[in-house]
Amino acid sequence: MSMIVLHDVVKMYSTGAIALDHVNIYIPQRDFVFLVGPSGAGKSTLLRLLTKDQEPSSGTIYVDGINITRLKRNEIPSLRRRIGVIFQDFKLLPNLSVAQNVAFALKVTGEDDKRGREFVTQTLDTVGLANRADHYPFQLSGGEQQRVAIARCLVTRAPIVIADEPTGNLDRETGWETIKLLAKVNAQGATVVVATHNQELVNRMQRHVIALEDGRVVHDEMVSGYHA
Amino acid sequence: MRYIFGAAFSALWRNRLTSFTAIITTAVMLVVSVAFLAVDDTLGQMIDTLGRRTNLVAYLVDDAKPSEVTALIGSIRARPGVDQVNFISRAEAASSFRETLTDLAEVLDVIETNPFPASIEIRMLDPAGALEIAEELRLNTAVVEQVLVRADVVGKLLRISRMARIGGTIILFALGAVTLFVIFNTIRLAVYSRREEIEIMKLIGATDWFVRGPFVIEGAFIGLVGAGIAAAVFVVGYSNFGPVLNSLVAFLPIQTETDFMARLTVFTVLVGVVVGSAGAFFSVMRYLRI
Repeated sequence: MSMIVLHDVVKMYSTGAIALDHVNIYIPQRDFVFLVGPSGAGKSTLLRLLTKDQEPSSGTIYVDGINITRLKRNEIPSLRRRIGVIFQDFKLLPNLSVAQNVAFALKVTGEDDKRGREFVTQTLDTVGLANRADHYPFQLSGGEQQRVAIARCLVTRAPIVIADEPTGNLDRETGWETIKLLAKVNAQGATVVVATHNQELVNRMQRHVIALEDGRVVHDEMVSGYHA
Repeated sequence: MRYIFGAAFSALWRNRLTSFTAIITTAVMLVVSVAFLAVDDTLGQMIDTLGRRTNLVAYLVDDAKPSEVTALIGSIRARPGVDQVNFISRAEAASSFRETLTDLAEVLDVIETNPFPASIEIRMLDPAGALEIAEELRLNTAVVEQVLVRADVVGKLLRISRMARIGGTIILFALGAVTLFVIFNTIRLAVYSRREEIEIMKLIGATDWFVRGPFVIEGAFIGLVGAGIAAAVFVVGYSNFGPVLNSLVAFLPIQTETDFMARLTVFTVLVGVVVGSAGAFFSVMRYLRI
């Protein structure tokens, strides 16, 4: 079953610039896919379309069997609860501790009960931050902050995790650790989509690779490296 | 719910200086608004009291048919806002003249005929309708010779009251708009400082109300406290200075009853909360379009 389907999707900005040009993509359930390509290829735009942060100009997008292009505004929150998002700049709340940042995702969904709190502890343990639960983001390294962001996705048990340049602000080793953690998330059942231009990581992982260039899909192979 | 209230009050505390300024501005605006309402009420009371004392008098033509006069009296009685209608015959008018102006009573003996016309005296419940009835009576030339709205004070007061009401309404709306603007901007500052948090909330699936809730509570609280201060200032001021003003200018029907105060207090608090919540609601709107 396909988890994410983009059918003939076009995204044109009001300036006339075309970010995605008749894109067709099929991502199966539990897949781990790298979205690669140079800056401006349309990777981030594609991810934004999946969370309905932006709307396509034409075409259809299915996420978990639902045509999200037809979703009403009040149905967007439930779509976003099924998609965990990881950003290059982590997007943690600076005035909340590590545990509170992770629990915040549960608060939003109204699951911030005793069971939820136990799950926060378990999740922090999974990402190796159990001993940092009471620290604040500014007290953590970049890699640790990214692990908090991953924990925030994990805690909601989102079936889809998308990551936009998750290693962009990390050194080589920490970046690799982050990707390994995402592979672990994938092994636990989530479909993972990672947008990156880190050639080395993609080649090392040998997973499904979709390459974009000037808004077009130029390469789509289930097991591959980075074809620049 | 606990999160929404917690977030609202922690934000109020974090931005306490801005919140305090907004509360004081709201209080000042509402005190002025309530003062206007009190003046309007006093004017209304004056019109009511004076209007009740004022009689409309219609002098009848000498050869008016009794049946037409009876029909006219009946139609006036049936009108809303009319308290009493009395028919004064020519003889009654003459005898009343003799009784009230005894020194001039002989004049009537000299003339030998009765110069007084019969009349209809009308006492109004609602002075607002007096001028309209007078106008209608004037048109009924078969029965009515002349109409007197005794001392046209009702008309003048009504004009003053109408002007005061229009002016007051404009000022109330202007003050309401200023209060809305102040709260809108206060919350907008709070929203701006938390825009990243809002973006994250939206991206992890928060509903609009989850994001908006704390800000609306914040705005409502600013409105509530501002209105509370305004109501307290008004009640203390009015109950202390009202009686003093009443003793100085006796004809001013200033109300100092608890009921009147309670009504204005409830009104002030309601306006404060509604304006506060509305200001917050609109200020966060822009940031929800993610």
